[in-house]
Amino acid sequence: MKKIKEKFLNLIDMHQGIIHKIVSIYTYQEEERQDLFQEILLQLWKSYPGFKEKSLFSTWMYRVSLNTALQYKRKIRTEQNAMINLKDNISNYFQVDANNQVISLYMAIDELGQVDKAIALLYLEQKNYQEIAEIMGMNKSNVGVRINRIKNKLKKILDYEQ
Amino acid sequence: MNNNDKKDKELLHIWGEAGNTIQQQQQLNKVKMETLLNNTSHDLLSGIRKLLKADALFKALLILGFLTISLLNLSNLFVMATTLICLGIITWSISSERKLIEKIEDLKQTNTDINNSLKSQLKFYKVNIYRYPFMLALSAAMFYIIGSLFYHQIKYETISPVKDITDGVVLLSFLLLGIVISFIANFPIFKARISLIQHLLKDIEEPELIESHLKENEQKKQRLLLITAILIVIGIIVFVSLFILFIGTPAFQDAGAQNSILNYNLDISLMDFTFFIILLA
Repeated sequence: MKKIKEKFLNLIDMHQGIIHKIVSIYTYQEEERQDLFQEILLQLWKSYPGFKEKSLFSTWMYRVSLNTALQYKRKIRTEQNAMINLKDNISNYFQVDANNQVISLYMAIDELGQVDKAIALLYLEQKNYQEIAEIMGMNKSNVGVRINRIKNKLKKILDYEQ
Repeated sequence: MNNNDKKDKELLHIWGEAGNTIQQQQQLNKVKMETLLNNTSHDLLSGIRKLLKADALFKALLILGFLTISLLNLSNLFVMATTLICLGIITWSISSERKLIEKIEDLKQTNTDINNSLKSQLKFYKVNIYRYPFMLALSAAMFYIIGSLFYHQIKYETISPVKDITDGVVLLSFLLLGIVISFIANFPIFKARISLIQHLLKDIEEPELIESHLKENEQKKQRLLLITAILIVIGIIVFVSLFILFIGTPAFQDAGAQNSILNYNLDISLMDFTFFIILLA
């Protein structure tokens, strides 16, 4: 058991950036980030015995992590201070200036639906349409259509922010 | 390179920058991650699994309780009949809970894509939306019954059937009310999760596929509701019959009002009320 855990932790350590990136787009408060990170880690550990190594470990990680993030119960944000808090939270998280493009991108991603966020992340991680389709369980043409829609939306918001 | 391609590259560049920042600032060491692995998951399925295991353990204790009370009343037909029925219900319930736990184990995300994983979970929640809260509600009802039996055993050193039909109806009403309230308390958990998953699937899938899934699950839900209703009605009939059957027994007639299981003087009312509150909790 100890050996399996060690192997698992080594693999997670190599790819933990995946979890952090997913957490960064699905939560914006520190407490929720830590909570979701932990939850994803636990789900990966529980599912690890079933990982048959037929796919890449990173692909499997994306699948499990995104599935967990999609069903994660977030705290309800009231509209009033949501935008201000969001900008501050992202700014603090990345320790960048409030006008930085990273903040604009994250705020643009925040406007996407939950599933679109997952597809956007996979696209930005430079996964091809086939890989995205396999992870999400969608057909390839549907993925293409959605990515174009997402890209246009993101670009539109980024242009507006600039 | 046209404008569109430039903007695409820009998006990827910004994302890459963000990724590097995250990598530098948020990286956790293996020791810290191992510590996190020792924590409890807040996942709904994990919570349900733990609750079912705890409930099965509680039901095992109830079995001990019923066996004890029956050993103390070997010649009491009423107690033996009640014990037999309750043991049957508890055993069936534990078996159902074991199957539920196995189904939850099967839902662990392994090599399936997100869409299929969500569909499997939706199926699980829709099929068990009534079974799960009903199993928990049964524990409360059984606890109420064994509590009442033990109380009368301790106070009157004997257990007698009801004095009249009103007593039986009152007992049954408390039992059913407790089951219904416990059921209602646990039902929304599944309902909320079903709503979330349906919304996600709607977002992923084509609308017509969602419709066929929903129709199929709706039919299953109605079938399950009908079976549950029939079982409850049969249960009520059996219970009331038992009470009516024992009203006219000589043993009961000789025992007198004081030893009646449902002598509604103040002491018994308070005790029954206490059990009812515990049942509600």
